[in-house]
Amino acid sequence: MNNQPAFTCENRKRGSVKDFFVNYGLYAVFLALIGFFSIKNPAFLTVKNGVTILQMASTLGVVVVGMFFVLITAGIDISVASNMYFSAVVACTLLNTFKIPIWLCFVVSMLSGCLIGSINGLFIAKFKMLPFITTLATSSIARGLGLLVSHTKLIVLDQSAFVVSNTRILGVPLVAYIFVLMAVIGHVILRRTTFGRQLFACGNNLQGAKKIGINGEKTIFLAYLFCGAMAGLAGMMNACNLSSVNQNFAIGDEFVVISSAVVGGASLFGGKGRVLPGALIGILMVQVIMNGLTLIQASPYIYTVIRGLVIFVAVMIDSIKFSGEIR
Amino acid sequence: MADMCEYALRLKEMSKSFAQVRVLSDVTLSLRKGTILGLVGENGAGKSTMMNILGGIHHRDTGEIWLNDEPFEPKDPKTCACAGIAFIHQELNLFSNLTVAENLFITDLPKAGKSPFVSNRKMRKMAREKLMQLGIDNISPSAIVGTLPMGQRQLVEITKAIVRDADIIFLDEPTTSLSTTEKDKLFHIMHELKNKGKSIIFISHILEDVFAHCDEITVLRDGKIILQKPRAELTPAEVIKAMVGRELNKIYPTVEKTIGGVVFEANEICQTGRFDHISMNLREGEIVGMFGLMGAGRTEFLRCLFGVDAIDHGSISHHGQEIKPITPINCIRSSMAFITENRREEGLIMPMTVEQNIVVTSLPELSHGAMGLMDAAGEDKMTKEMVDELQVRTYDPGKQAVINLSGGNQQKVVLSKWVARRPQVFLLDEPTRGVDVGAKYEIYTIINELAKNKSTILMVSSEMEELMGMCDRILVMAHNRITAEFHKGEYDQEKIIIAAIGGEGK
Repeated sequence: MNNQPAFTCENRKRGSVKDFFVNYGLYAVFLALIGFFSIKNPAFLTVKNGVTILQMASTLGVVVVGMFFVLITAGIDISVASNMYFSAVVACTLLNTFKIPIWLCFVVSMLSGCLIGSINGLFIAKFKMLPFITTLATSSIARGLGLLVSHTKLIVLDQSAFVVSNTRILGVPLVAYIFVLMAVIGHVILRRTTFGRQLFACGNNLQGAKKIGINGEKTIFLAYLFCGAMAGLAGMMNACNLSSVNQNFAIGDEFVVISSAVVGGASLFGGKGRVLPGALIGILMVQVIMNGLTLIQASPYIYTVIRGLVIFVAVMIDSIKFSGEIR
Repeated sequence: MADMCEYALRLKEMSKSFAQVRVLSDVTLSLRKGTILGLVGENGAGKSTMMNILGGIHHRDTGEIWLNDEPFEPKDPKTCACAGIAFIHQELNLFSNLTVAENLFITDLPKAGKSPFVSNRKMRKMAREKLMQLGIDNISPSAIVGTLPMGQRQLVEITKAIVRDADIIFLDEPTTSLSTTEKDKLFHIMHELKNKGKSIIFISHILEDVFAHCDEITVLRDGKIILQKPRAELTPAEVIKAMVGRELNKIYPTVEKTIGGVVFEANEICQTGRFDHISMNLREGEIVGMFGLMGAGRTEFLRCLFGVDAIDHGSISHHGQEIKPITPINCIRSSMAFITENRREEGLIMPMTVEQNIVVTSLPELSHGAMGLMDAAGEDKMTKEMVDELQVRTYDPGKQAVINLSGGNQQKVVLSKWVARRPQVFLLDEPTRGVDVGAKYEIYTIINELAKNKSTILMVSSEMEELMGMCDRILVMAHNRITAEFHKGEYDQEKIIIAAIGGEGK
């Protein structure tokens, strides 16, 4: 940044309409949409539907937690959806071939997620490759590997998958507990560990961080590794929800994840974001809109349009908020 | 005090050259424990090179460095930080998204007992203690650094030095962005540190401050220590004399030319927070110099004149025609040219050839037809003309990339691409920086030729001697104001530097 004179404070008082839009606009639109959906279909505002939304949101919510780490480094990971597919295929193939217990599937899935994540991290942190292109490439690779392993066939999971997706504790699905647990873990790592705090420092000023002795490469690597692990976990969760893995598994979900993270307060410019409550709010808002569209029987083609609009508006607000210095 | 550990830092006959240019020669300097040493010198005197060597960024060629009477080898920035040397530069190294406390402890975050988690409460408490040690009571440890004014950020940066237990603290022009009260606070803290036994090197060109707060004063000029004496034995006049007292023995090219009437006028230029009603004018065929120390606002002023930075009030006219609005495109249309000080980043496309760089400003003129196809023959012709006229030394302008040219030839390419458009007003920012002596002479000749052909030149330079040798008139800038104007024949090094330091020259 150029050394711009520091009298931007005066300008901030003006344009309160813009400020209001930037700070609360998204919530206002969200509330209006809830109103619209519940008038159109009374089934929208019910406990049963709430549980469904929670079930759907939890899977991608886990990835949003991982995405926060990557966005804080001022990077991006668009390989998460393909990573989910790849990890689910690997774990479910083992499940069907060797009849391994379902908990082991989750471990395997997370490990294969870590594999993709560590490739991203290695090339981005060590070889200074652009995050966007690197993860675009690994996205294609992971999707392709998944298709190879599954022989492009539908993988149907056995009974144990139903147990995971149908278990309710106090009326709340098990997957929601997993999501909240991951969000709490992510939050604590970011706010209460040396790694977490240094991650924010690297996202704000990587050169400066290196100058005072922070290992920037390692910090950024770990962020992508964590994001990969979360994608792997989510892949297995989603497989249990659907009790099968088909070729279109998780396609386009990277957009949902990135827009949820940005809606939840992470910034594409890096150095900013709180997992609690950001990740929860972000994914729930996006999922509520998707669910509402289903209930009012909107055209299936409108989904991608809405998905695009959400990420567009979120990123636009992020850019307006970005003042160049206070990130 | 025992003689053994009287000095915190000593340099003995330290020298450093960059590509045959001697930047520091036999620098011998000593910093007593618990004192403030003022270091003054013009731009380019070698202050930053000296700091970079002590900070482990550059390596000295010869000489010794002694830290607490032990030889010290500044290998890399980390060794220096561990040895207790801290640098506070004008550009602060803080994380604007983190709190004050987090910035202070980011490399070693405090934890409560054996818990693996960072204790925010403990961190805030420790931060408050450190801030209070320096008497800073108006900064909350939980404030986000990005929301603090510059002055308070500077204090945070100084506190960081305390946290890291630095014994020797370099303050490089720390007061330029501070208000008077913030400055007082800073000086108070400097004395506080001194009383705690820390040693400080205070670099500033505000002599008032240096005389008010330093125990000893050192003057650096052209990479040599001119004097180091206790403050009581010095007067500001002596220091000024030491800063500029070099002999003028270089020869500058001259040219027969006539200076015409006023062609370029800038009226009442205002930019909030920086310029307040600055007016100046340039005559046809005139070479006007603009002198000032680092941070005086010279570059920023040129950027305003060319519309690179927006101004809030004021007008610019060329040949009586007002340029409105002031944008780079309009300035180029009314035949102005701006050559930035930063030729590597702004002036040239380094990996491209000489030819591509020369024609880049004239692409519309060199293309024809609705498709805008380039006229290859025209490009060659223009390049050949320029290379001959400005004597750019290149084996093949169509093949050699400018990155492979010497600094002087690169600068000539920058000049050529503008000269090719035959502008009438040239704004030159440090046209000879980083250029060897021979090429400097050639650039002076080019500038003279331009003036002879009735172009008008405004050149900013940090080399007073160069301006005195080249210009018909010198404007001096200090603290974003034009503080003095000298005409050829009345040049005086001391008067110029006084105007550049404080602005009482008029």
